[in-house]
Amino acid sequence: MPLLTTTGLPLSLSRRGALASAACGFGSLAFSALASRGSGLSPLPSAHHQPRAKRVIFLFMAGGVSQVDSFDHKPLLERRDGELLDFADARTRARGEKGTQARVMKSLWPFRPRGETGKQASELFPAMATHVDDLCFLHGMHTEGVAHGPATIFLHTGATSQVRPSMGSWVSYGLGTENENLPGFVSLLPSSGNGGPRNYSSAFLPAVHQGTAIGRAGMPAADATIGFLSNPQRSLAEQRQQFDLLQSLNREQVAARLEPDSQLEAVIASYELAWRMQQVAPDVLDLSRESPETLALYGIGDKATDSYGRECLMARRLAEAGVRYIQVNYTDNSNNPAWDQHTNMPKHADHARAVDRPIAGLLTDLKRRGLLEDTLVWWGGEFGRNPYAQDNGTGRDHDPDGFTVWLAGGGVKSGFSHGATDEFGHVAVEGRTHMHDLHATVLHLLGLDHKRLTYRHAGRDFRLTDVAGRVISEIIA
Amino acid sequence: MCAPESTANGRDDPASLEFFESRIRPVLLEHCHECHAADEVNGGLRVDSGPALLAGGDSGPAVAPGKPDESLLLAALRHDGFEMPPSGRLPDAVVADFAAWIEAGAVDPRSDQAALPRAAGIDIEAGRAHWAFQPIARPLTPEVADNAWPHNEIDAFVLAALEAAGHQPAPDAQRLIWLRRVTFDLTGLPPTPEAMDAFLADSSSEAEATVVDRLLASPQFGERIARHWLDIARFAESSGGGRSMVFQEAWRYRDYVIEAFNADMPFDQFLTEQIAGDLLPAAGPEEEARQLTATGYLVLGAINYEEQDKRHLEMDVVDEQLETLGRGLLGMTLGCARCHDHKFDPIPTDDYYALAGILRSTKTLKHSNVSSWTERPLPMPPGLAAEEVAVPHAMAAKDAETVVDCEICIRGDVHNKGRAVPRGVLQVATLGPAPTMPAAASGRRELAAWLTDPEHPLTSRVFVNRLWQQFFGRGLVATPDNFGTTAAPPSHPALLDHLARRLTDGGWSTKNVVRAIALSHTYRQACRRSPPLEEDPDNALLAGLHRRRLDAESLRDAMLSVAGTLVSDLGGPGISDPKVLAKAGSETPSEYTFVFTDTRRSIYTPAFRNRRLELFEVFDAANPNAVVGRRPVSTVAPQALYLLNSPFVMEQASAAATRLLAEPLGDPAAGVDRAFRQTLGRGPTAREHELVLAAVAGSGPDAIAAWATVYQSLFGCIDFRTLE
Repeated sequence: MPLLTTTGLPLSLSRRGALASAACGFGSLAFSALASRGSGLSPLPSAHHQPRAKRVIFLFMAGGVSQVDSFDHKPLLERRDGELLDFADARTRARGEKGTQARVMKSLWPFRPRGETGKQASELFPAMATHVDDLCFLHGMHTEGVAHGPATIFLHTGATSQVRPSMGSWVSYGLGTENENLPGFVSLLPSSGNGGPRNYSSAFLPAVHQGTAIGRAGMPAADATIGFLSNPQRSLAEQRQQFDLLQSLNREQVAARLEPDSQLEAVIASYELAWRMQQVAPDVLDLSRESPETLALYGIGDKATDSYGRECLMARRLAEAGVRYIQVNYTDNSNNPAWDQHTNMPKHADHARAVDRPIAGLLTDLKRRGLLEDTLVWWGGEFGRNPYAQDNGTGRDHDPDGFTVWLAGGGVKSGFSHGATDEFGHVAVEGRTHMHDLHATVLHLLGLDHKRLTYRHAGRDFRLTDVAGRVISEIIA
Repeated sequence: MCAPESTANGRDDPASLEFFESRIRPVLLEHCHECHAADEVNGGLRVDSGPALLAGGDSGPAVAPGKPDESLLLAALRHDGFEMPPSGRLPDAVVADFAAWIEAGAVDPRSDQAALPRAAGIDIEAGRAHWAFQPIARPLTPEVADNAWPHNEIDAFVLAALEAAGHQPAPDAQRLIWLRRVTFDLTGLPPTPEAMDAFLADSSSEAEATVVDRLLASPQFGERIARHWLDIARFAESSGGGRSMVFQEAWRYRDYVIEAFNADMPFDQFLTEQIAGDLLPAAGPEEEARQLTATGYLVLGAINYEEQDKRHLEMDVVDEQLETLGRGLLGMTLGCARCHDHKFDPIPTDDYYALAGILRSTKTLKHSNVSSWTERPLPMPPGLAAEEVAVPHAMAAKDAETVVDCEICIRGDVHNKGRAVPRGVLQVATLGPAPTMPAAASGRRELAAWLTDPEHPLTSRVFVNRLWQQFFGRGLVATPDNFGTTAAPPSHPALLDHLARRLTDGGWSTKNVVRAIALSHTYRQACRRSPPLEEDPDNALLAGLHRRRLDAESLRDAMLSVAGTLVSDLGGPGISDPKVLAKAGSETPSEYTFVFTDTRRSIYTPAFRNRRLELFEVFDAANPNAVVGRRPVSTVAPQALYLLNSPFVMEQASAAATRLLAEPLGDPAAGVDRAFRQTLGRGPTAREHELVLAAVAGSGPDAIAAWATVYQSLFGCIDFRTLE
């Protein structure tokens, strides 16, 4: 029998400091309800090994950015542009057919060397390109799922079809939150398509590790907030009056019972926390007290960059406030989201314009505040795009066999490139990094061993990386 | 010095040994050991021992000495079928070394036999020893010391266990607490003040039975119990997955379930219709339509129809169906056996693929770039069919054109096929002769017959355990979807079997079992734990009831009911917007623009997989993507924010206030009393009365606003959200 604390929670379950009677935070309440039911929930109050990063900011480029038009420079495309060649097209192969003939299409944006490292980057992301010396490129990425739905869910949960917890939920489960007044995992303006909430769902992990959506895709980020955080129908005095009546009734009802019940006390605490959150969270999300210089840095105020700029700045503020996993979505609610240029590659430029300055601004801001030291920034989509034209047109189809993501800060090498695709930029051939490997590596940087971060459900232990995953030690600084 | 071992692969040849030591062993060490050696044996393959390399892993022998082209190890290095190592292809020269080494006989001095994988196979006979696979007993009603306490046999089992542990039952709950409890449990709605008055006025010994029979006969009973079944059936009205598509006809299955429970359809028939309804004879078009609709059970899973690898998609569908069937009906996690023999339960891979063959021989999928599900026209009553009405369709299964035995997918990989397994059922749960599968049909009828055999060790136990959990908050088996060896055994094994027999002997009547539970003395106890926590921390012995949380649907329906805004229409489609119902298109209106407006009971609220009513999301409603036999219970701040700030709660509070003030109440004190009885099923305590009276005192023209504040506080308070 474990020792009990004054709240009736087993001592072994209350190691997270804030789990005292008064401070039942986002983390601890569901936790206590579950723990007392003997659900077998085993807390992981600390990391498996020394972490290099305390939090993750994931800049999700939904739809798939073209690697050969951005950071994966392939001079051969230039030389053989327009030629019809045989390619082992992923979609065709998935359907059980042989390869396909397709027209080679060179990058629409010229490349040139950047920074002190001379890293080749195209004109697609001119502002991001000024940061190449801070970035760690993974050019040998490959993943599962040829279509957006499966690949997006795989990126987030490590499975294409089965219902599994999202990566942010695993991180929240593994490390808890640093701020008991805020959730440990937030997703800014998430899409309702391609799995929608499944991409920030805790699935079978305790509900407290569910990602909290701030806003929804399609709305301006200026309007994004946490659901029901405020009550526009009542004045503060009226709200206070109702809150006081409610809590008086609650205290009376708890007192009327002969024996104390920690779960009923947790209800009272959840109202207190909600009341505090109503004061705290709007401040965290409120960008109005940021300096004009900072707002400009993120491109806030300019039509093209305002929304994603706000997302990025909110991400920095959430990171400062102690949120563990912050997903900053660039997406929409379509099943063929943002970057999905099947027929019109030039449209990549519009999306690049919307995210380039905000992301560069975020990197600059994190760095000058010393936050990049222990914040891992991850930029990428669910897959890349083919180096050849789709249906002989002006677009590119999905390429899950070879694409690029970059990481920055949080313990990875800077000004570094790992892995490579073939000479056309189609299939990863060197330093091949499966999405499972990337998951394992991100967890590793957070101090978590992907093989030991498990949760028992339906009779067996589950993990984010299923039975796969390899930490890419080559990129760790 | 020992004599060199003489073996077929020439271990005594120094040149071969040198080649192995210089060209092969270092490569294995550097590139393969991390995942294929003693510490970690991925794919069942170890490369750190000669015999183990010859024996290979899940896909078969890794090395065929002398035959490079038949050696999987070389195929993997060549990225032909497998891709090893995963970090990238090794240089051609290294691959050529391996080819030469195998060609020359694969000389390998490492003779560690201990590294051989353990003999495969599961001992089914030994597995039968697990309690859940044992035949269902016919336990005698136990003797108890306190003869006066039991109201029925259930109580004798519970009391005997309590007495054996030296404990006593808790005192009875107050009558109104029992009434609120039983009304929510049987209908998902609060008792009305009128029902409270009638019950209190009935001093006969039949007062409780009168209430239970009234509730069992009400159509709200079917709506309530169907909600539990829909959790088990992972019911939803869209496909989820990537491109979530609306299931326009899913409501028919939902109505089928409600009607079946209201009509007390025998549970064996209920299961048979859902698995094989399309194959059953029908007495007329109405019965045929009902049976077709029931097979929607097989069709309405969360499927990624967008999957481009159609063979993969087909197995995903089968896997989803087996997971639903396994956890929902058998309390078994079959999914593990998709890739390997079950590690905990006696379920070999063969059993998974035996069942999979039945479903592979069943058609629920239509292929296209984005595939979809099967729908079938429903027969129309004669006379109607001739008229110009649109023929209704239901999501329904049919037998496939060809009946197939399913090939094992090695490690779950659909492109790595092993031998075919004859169709069949779980061996360990088959007590009599195994069913014979027909050559010309899928075998679903045989599967249903096997499942609904009254002697089946799992079907009835799993179902009565689910019913028990709905009344006590915890099953006799605490893990309702897992009766396997990793689950804790039942707290009351004899009672579980008694209930299972009560179900099967009583013509598989659900109402019969439910009535016995609802009228038991066990269920009438107060929520009090009289034994100290140390001795029975989970209160498994039921000395007093578990305090429970009102589930999301009951919470919402209770607010609507108190507010007088509840529309109590039964059945029918819940989505009418043609834009939402449209299947095609790039946008998914169901998942984004849908506005939830109706105030019907929650079971009719459109159930999109990727967009749920916020109240359901926040208050732990079942995730419609999976079988949920026991919902999580959380207390989180977003729930508090919802009850404090959501327009829905405020609207209902305001409607309740308007309704109250329209009644001829006399004075505010009478209003306080009525508001408490409506919401909490009891009058206020003196202190509560005082608090609320102060809140509405002198409100004058703002009376509605003041009373709305009161109702909102009542909707948010502990006694509203809790079931004593």
